[in-house]
Amino acid sequence: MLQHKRWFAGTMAAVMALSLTACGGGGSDAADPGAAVDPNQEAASGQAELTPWEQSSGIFNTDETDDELYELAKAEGKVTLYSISSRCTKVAEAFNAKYPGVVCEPFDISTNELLEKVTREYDAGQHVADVVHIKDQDGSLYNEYILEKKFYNYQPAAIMDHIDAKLRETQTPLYIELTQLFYNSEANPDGPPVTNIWEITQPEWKGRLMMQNPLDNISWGSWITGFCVGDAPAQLEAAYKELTGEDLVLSDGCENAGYEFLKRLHDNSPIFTSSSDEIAESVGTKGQANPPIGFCASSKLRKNKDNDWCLAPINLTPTTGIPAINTVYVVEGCEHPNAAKLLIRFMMGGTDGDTSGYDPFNTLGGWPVRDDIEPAEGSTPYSEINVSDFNPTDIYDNINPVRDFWTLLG
Amino acid sequence: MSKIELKHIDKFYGKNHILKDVELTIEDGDFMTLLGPSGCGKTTTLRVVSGLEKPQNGTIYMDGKEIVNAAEAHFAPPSERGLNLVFQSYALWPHMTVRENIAFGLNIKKMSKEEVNKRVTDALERMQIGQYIDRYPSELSGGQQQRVAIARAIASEPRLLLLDEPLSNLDAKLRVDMRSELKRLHTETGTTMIYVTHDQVEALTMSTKIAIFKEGVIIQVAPPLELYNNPANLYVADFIGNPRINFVDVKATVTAAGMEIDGAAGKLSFPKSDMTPGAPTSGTFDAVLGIRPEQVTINTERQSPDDIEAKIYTSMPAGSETLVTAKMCGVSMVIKALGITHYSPDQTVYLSIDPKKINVFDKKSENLIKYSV
Amino acid sequence: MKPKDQNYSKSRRLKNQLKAVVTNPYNVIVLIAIVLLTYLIVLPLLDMISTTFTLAQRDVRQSGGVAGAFTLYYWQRLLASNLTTKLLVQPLLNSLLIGSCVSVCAITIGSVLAWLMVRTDLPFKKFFSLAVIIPYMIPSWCKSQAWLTMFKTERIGGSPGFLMSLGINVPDWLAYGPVAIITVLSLHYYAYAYLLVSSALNSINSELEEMGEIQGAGKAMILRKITFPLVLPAMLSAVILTFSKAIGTFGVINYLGSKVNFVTLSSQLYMNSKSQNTQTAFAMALIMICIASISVFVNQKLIGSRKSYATIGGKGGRSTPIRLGAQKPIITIVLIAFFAVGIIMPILILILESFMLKQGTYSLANLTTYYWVGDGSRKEIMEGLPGIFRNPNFINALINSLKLTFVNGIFGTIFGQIIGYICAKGRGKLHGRVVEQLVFIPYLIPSIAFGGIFLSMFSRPQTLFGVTLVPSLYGTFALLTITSVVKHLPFASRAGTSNMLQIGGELEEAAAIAGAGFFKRFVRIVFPLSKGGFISGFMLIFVSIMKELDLIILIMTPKTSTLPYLAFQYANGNSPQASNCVAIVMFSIVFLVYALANIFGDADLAKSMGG
Repeated sequence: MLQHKRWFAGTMAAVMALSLTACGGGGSDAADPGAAVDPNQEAASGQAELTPWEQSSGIFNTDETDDELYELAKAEGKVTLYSISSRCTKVAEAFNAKYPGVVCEPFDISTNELLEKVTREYDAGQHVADVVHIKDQDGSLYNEYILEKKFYNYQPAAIMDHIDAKLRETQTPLYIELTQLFYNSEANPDGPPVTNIWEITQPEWKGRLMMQNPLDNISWGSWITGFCVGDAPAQLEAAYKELTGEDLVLSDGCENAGYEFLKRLHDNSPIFTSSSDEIAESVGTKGQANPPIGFCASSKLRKNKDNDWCLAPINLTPTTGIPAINTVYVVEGCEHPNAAKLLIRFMMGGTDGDTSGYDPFNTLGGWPVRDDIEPAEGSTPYSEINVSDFNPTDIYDNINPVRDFWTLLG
Repeated sequence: MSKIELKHIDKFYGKNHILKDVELTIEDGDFMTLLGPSGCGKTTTLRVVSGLEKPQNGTIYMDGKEIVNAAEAHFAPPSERGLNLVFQSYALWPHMTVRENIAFGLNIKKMSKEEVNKRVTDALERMQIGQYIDRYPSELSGGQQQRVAIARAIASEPRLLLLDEPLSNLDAKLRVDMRSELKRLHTETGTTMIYVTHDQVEALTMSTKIAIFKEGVIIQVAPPLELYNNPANLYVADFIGNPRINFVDVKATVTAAGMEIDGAAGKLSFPKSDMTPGAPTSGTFDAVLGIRPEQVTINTERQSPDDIEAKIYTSMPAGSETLVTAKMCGVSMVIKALGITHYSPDQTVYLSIDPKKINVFDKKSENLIKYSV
Repeated sequence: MKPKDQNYSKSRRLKNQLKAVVTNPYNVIVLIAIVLLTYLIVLPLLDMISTTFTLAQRDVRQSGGVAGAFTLYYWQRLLASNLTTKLLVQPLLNSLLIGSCVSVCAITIGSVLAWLMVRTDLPFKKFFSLAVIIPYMIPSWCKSQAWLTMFKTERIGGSPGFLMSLGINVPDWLAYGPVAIITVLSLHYYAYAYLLVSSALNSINSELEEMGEIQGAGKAMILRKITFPLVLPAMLSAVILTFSKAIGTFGVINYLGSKVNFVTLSSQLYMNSKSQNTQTAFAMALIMICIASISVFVNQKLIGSRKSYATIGGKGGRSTPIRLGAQKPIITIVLIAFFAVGIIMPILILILESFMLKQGTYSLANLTTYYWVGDGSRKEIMEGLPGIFRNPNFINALINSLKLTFVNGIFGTIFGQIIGYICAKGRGKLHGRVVEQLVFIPYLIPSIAFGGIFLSMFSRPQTLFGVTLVPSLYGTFALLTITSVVKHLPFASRAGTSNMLQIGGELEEAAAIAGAGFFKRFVRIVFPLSKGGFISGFMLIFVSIMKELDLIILIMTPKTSTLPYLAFQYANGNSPQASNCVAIVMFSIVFLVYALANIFGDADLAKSMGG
């Protein structure tokens, strides 16, 4: 019970902070007094009138034990998981081994299709997916799914206690991935060729930096937005001074140092590819005299060994950008809520020390969100990496202007 | 076995007026040929009768029963009209054997197996191609395919048989054979037939009646000989006959007694009784004489005072006959002389023409004003 | 029409007219087809249009207003804002550039090949005519990959390209961007021009050319003055297909164009769709539909009356091959080289890569059959998954794919042939044109949008005035079938149209006179005569459904995975080799079915594309 209260206090604080920023931003959402409220907090405050499904599924009931849930789940028989990771098949295998009688059906599908599919199904009253594993990269899942009560956060207290409160305000985090800058360690035996993020905007790296076009998809769009909001612009400004000794002069149309950074990054003609894999291969292939550097998903580090690459991450100052946090949700109206809860507990590493549901995700280039689970061997501790805070509302409100800004750059 | 009446038939394709107020009656047992140059509407008429095309105006009766009433949008489907059609291209189904081609329509009529077999064999026997019963169309020659197409059409024992230029794809010899074949078929079965062709020899030799088409209008309907002897107007006269009819421009004067002609063919007079009802009753006007090449006799010596002097232009012997072109007073005249005769160019000859046989046309209206008798 | 004094009953006229419409199965089928097409194509299209005028929840933050309200925001943004140039004009110009250049190149290659294959005494014709179709079967990404393997420059790092490793410095403009895209797409799409032109050439009587020779014209003159004008309609038709295909594609453009920041309307559309800017993506799709419709319309006007058709049952044209003479060996060698580079190389690269333990290491020791038949004992490979032939998922996906492609291929073909019948019979008439335009639309609706709209439409029972017409089809095979049939209708019906045009109208009229009703005629006359075309039409759909991923993934349930989905999963899961294995299996199936159809079924893709 005590734990429960602590969690409640934390979320309340978050709500207040959130409403403050929202008011300050003058967003249209906040101007509306009837704006949606986080259902978890509403329920926790005891003021909410529960919908029949909220009632029957007991989605806000976070005190059950694994065994109790298992018994209920057995009656439901199965649970369907839509996931953006191919590793979901392994999770399902482990789940099925541990909980016979409840069958987990995984469906590996990419972000865009997943959202399209689950939304269409939901709108049509087809409750197929029970659990969704995705990333809330631009805050739209919080703003358009959680607040609209299409998805629910299931936050079992015993597990949440091991997760930084900052990470679980608006989402149920699973693990963290980053968009990191990588270099070829064979060609640069003395360590990373750059450390300050502004160095990649200098002539030396003109046409030699690889990344995906931020307009390509929402995760890259969110990532560049991360530089323009929160503390990032101020940090960038300071880092510029530190590197060049001069004050940063903003160009026309650049609101802050974040936009200026994006402009200069763009003007340095980065090479866009169609996938992260391509970047990893281009940067990491051995035997190159003058290899490029490139931003790509931190998870590509896993492929180093398989492909005999020499990818090495750079811990950029002041920041390497916002993290991409993998999250799990229960879909409203789903037919197997107890099995869904059991699966989420399992995926999050459970409470019984058996982390077989978590292990597939705990690999090089991914960081566990729980303080009681060790990251994969060889990982840089997450706390040592310069990462910006992820604020779903900031990103949500700014991603479109930033995308348009980038579009106008050409 | 069937009488067809077409009344006020109009057919349009888009803005093109193809059939213009066509009126045609085909008596039971007729072999009616629709004759005319290509594009004159004869095939369209056939297709209207068959039911493959729907006219925009008019009615069609078959044995008194209304099968088309355009005003009421009533069009009996082809299969209910008791007719059959032989296409110009034969339209044999290439994936079926001869037997299957012929049996197809019979099977649809739900005939017994024996009956179908009998009819198939009969039809093939009649067309003398019984031995090809199990072949595919592609394994037959053009003439054999033609026979199969006809066999298919007659096997259903139609009340009305429609034939759309069926002989146009055959060589000259086969065409002559098939002509007599079709004529025998008509007399044996007594079926009413409508036959489309642009070949006047086919029309003249086979039909009991011929309808001449010009640009969607029927000009004349008459038995072949009548059509030949008394074409209704210059168009028909010009179209029918090989070699072509000779036209001679003259001046005509009509009096109470009859008609006087003056021109290159000399002076001629015709009694009133030979004049057509539509002929002018008085006055002087331009007229055209129509003289068939075989109606002129050619002599090297003057035989009578009425003979006309002429000069030989060319002489072309063709076995049984000789085609002679002669100039009389600057007018060119083709003459068909029996047997082989020899004339040298520029030789002077004398032509004699029986005035009774001459057609006279009004130059202005182009209509026949004097019968050949 | 002149007025006539005819006594007639107006009521009887009306009754007869009604009866004629209702009792004529052709009218009924046209009616049903138009209703169905309206329902299955126009409705989704309207849905797309209305979506572009409806403010989405996610855009409230930028534009203000209320979600779900009418808005001009998206169109204004696209057509009249400071973003217009970057978002629309530039990509559109690039699209037109790619479309035009690819059309010109592909039609040139295709026509020359067709002429060589049909009209000359080229050796090894059997082999060539089989090989020439293969590009249609290999996915275009295979070719772009092969292109990069060849021309990759230092610019993008990684393992060196083939030419670079030989010390040849390839300029960037050749390796990436428009030139590369145009080359790869031309090599992909020349198949259409080849198929169309060769079927046109086949129907031309060579006496026409011989006549020219007798008149004293040289070979070049005959080609220019006689042959070319005769096949011009077929070539124009190929231009439309190629042009709309080329402006609609994004895979190759993304792969080869992004490196130099070259975007087209289609890649913009794809990016917007991936970024969940559905409304903008739809608006772009609508613009592309307009462009394609205009080109189809122009095509109809241009070809219209000039077209002549080969007719089954007509006189077969005689064909005397033209002797190539001294150039024969040279042309043969050029052709062999062309096929080696354009067709065999991509396939060999694909096969080789599926046997490579580690990518990019070209040594004998690196070869393995593990990805094919490995038992899953080596945990470090494929994250411990067994080789594809030992993986139950693969077998499952294989069965699903086969079921899907065969069932959908058959349904799609039948439907396509019926639509083709309507288009052929209704040529020049309003209903024919309407149907022809309608069936073209699904091709240009992005797969994901199309799949999504169908999922929404059929997840609920479809009712009309309270009567349930279609029950909820969610998760059923029927929904998969409907969606893929409609999506592939443009090609199925195109095949159907040309197929039906080959059957002389008199063959059917003869049956009508014999008393055969519409259905009897279709079953007994039209179908048997068009059997070859039926099978070729089937092949066309079969090939594209086999490759389909985006469309099906939305409609699939977790249990029905297919081969492309498996390939996607492997690629996603860091096993490109296994992904290649699946791709090879897919290609083999397609090729095998094509070969079988060719041998036993008299199928000829060229026939189905004519007309």
